[in-house]
Amino acid sequence: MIELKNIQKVYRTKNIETLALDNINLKIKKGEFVSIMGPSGCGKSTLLNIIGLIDNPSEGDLSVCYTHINGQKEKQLANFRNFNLGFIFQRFHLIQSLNVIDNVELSLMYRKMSASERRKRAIETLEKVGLSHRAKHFPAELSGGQCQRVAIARAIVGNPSIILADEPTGNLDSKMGDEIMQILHNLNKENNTTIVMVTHDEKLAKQTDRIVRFFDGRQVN
Amino acid sequence: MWLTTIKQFLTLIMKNRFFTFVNLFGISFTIMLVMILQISFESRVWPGGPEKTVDKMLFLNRSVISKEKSMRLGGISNSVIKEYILNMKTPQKIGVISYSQWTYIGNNGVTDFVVKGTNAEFLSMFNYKMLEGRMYTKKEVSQSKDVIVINRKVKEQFFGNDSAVGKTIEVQDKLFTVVGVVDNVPVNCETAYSDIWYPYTLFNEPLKLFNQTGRWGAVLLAANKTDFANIKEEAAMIEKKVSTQTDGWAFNFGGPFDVLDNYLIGNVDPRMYVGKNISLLMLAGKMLFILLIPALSLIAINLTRVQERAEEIAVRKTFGASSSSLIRQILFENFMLTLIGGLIGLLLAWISIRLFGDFLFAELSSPANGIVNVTLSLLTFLVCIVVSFILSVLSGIIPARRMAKLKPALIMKGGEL
Ligand SMILES: Nc1ncnc2c1ncn2[C@@H]1O[C@H](COP(=O)(O)OP(=O)(O)OP(=O)(O)O)[C@@H](O)[C@H]1O
Ligand SMILES: [Mg+2]
Repeated sequence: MIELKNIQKVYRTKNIETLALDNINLKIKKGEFVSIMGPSGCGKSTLLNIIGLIDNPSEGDLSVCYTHINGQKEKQLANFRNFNLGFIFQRFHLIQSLNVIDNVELSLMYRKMSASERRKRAIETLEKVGLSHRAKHFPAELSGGQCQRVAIARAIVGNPSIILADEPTGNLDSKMGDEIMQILHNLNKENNTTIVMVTHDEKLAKQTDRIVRFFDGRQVN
Repeated sequence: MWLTTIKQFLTLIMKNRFFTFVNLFGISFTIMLVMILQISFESRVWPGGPEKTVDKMLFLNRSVISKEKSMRLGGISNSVIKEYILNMKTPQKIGVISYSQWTYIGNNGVTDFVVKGTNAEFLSMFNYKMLEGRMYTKKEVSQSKDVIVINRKVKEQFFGNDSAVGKTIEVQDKLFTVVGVVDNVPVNCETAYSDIWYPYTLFNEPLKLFNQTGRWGAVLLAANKTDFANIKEEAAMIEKKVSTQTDGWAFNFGGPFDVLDNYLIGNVDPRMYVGKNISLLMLAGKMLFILLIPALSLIAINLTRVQERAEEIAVRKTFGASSSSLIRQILFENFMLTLIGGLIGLLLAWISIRLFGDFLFAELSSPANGIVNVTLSLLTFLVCIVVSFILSVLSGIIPARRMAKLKPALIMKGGEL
C-alpha cells in the first residue's frame, strides 16, 4: 500500500541543513495499523507529510496506493490526496469560519458531487463519530475531544484508503484519547483502512499492529 | 460549493468587522468616484427628460473653416443654415438654433437668461412639458411674429403666480407676447435647454460670408437610426458645395455627430476627433486609473489577511484543493466583498449627485436652474458591477496567488508550531 525507498529529507535554511529523514525504507501493507514513535524532532511529522504528499522528499522513491509519486503535478497530487488520503492532526486544524457539517464536507467540495449527496454523506459520517447533534455548531463551541471527532469525520468522509494521523490524541485527556482510538480501530477493522499514526503514547502504540521507531531521522528497530 | 463559500464569506466578514469596515470603506469610496464619473457621463449623453429621443438625433454645432495655415473654428453661420441645412432632404425633422444670451437688470439685480432662436420644428423635436398656452407655429415663424415661449423660471420672475400667456416681455429692446410656458428644463439637457425661445426669423441679422463662422447650430432628427449614413452623406455634400463659395477656404462641419460623439468630442477641433471607440477606451482608461491607487492599498490589506488565513488554506490544500480552485475561491470572496462595496459606492455616488449635482454640472449652463436630470440606468448598474469586478481582480489576484502558493507542510506539523 505504501512503500518508501531510500527516502531522504533535508531542510535547508539560510545557514543550516537539517537532515530530517535519513535513508528511510518502509513498507506498509493494506489494512495495517502502524504506529510511529520516537523523540521530538526525530522526523515523524516529516515522514507523515511525505507519505501524505503535502511535502516532497529530497531524494528517494515513494509510492502510495500502489502509485508512484514522482514528478506528479500539483493538481494531480491534490486530486490524489482528495480521493485516497485522510488526515488527522494533533491540533485538529478545523476551519474556524465553517460550521461542523461544512468542515466535514470539505474534501467532498473538491469532488464532482451534488450538494445533497455531500450533505447526506457528511451527516452519516458525523453519526459514526457520534456528533450529528452538533452539525450546526462552530469549532470554537466544541470541546477538544469533539473537535477531534469532527476532524476524524472530515478525514473519513471521502472513504480514503489511508488515514494519516499525527498525534491524534496528543491534545486530549486519556479518556477522550481512548474514544478516538476506538474510532480508529473500528475504522481499521470494518473498512480495512490503512492507518499510520504518530504517537508518544506507548500504551496506545501497543494496541496497533506494528510499531516503527525513529531516532534522529533514522529508523531503529 | 459557491453556497458554502458565500456562507463562509459572511461568517468571515462578520467575524472580522474591522477588516471588513476598512476594506469596504476603501472600496465604496473608490467606486463612488468612478460612479460619479459614470453617472455624470450618462446624464450628459442621455439626459432623458425633454431629450428622450436624442438617440435618433444628429447634431451640427460647429464649422471648421481653414485655408493653408489659418483656421476658423466656431458655430455655423446663418447663411449655411438658411441656404443649406434648412433645405436638407434626408432628415425627418430639422431644428435650427441661434444661440444668444439676455442679461436682464431688474430690481433683484442681474439675471442671465439663455435665449434660443429656433424654428417650430425644433420645439416639436423635444418633449417639453407645456404648462400653459402653446408653442409658436411654423406660420408665426415664417411671418416673424413677436412671440416667445418661456420657461417656468422666467414666468415666475416676471409674472409670479399669474398666467403669462398673452402678456408681454421686453427682451433686447423688443416687445414680445408670451404664447406658452414650459416647465424648467434640466441643465444637462443642453440642446433642449433654454429660458426663452423665440422664432429664429425675428432678428434680421445680415447674412454672413460662407468662409465665416456663426453662432448657429442644427439638430437633425432621423426617422430611423439607419438613416444616419444618408444624413451624413448629405452633410458631406453640403460641405463640398459650401467650399466652392468660400474664396479658397475649406468648409467642414466635423460632423454631424450623434449624441455620444457630440459629447466625446468635447471642445477640440472636430477634425482631431479619434472616434467613439478610442474615446470610450480613453474614458475607461481614466476610470481604471482611478482604481489603481486604491487597488494597491487593498492589495496591502488583503496580503495581511494571507497570514491570518494560512491555516485554512493549508487545510484546504491538504484535503484536496488545488491552487487554481483556491485562487478561484479567494477571488470570488473578494469579488463579493467588492460588489457590496461597489453597490454602497453607487448609492453614495447617487446621493452626492443629488446633493451636489449643481456643482458637478456647473460648467454646463451658466444660469443653472438647479435641476439636473439623473436617473439610474441599467448601464450604470452594469458599469458598477464591471468596475467592481475589475477592482476585485486588481486587488485580489496577487494575494490570492500568494495564498495558493502556501505550503501546507509548513503549517500542518503535528507538534507545536
Ligand atoms: N520547515 C522546516 N525547516 C527546517 N527544519 C525543519 C522544518 N520542519 C522540520 N524541521 C526539522 O526537521 C526535524 C524533524 O521535524 P519533525 O517535525 O518531523 O519532528 P517530529 O518528530 O514530528 O517532532 P515532534 O514529536 O515534536 O512533533 C526537526 O529537527 C525540525 O527542526
Ligand atoms: Mg511532529
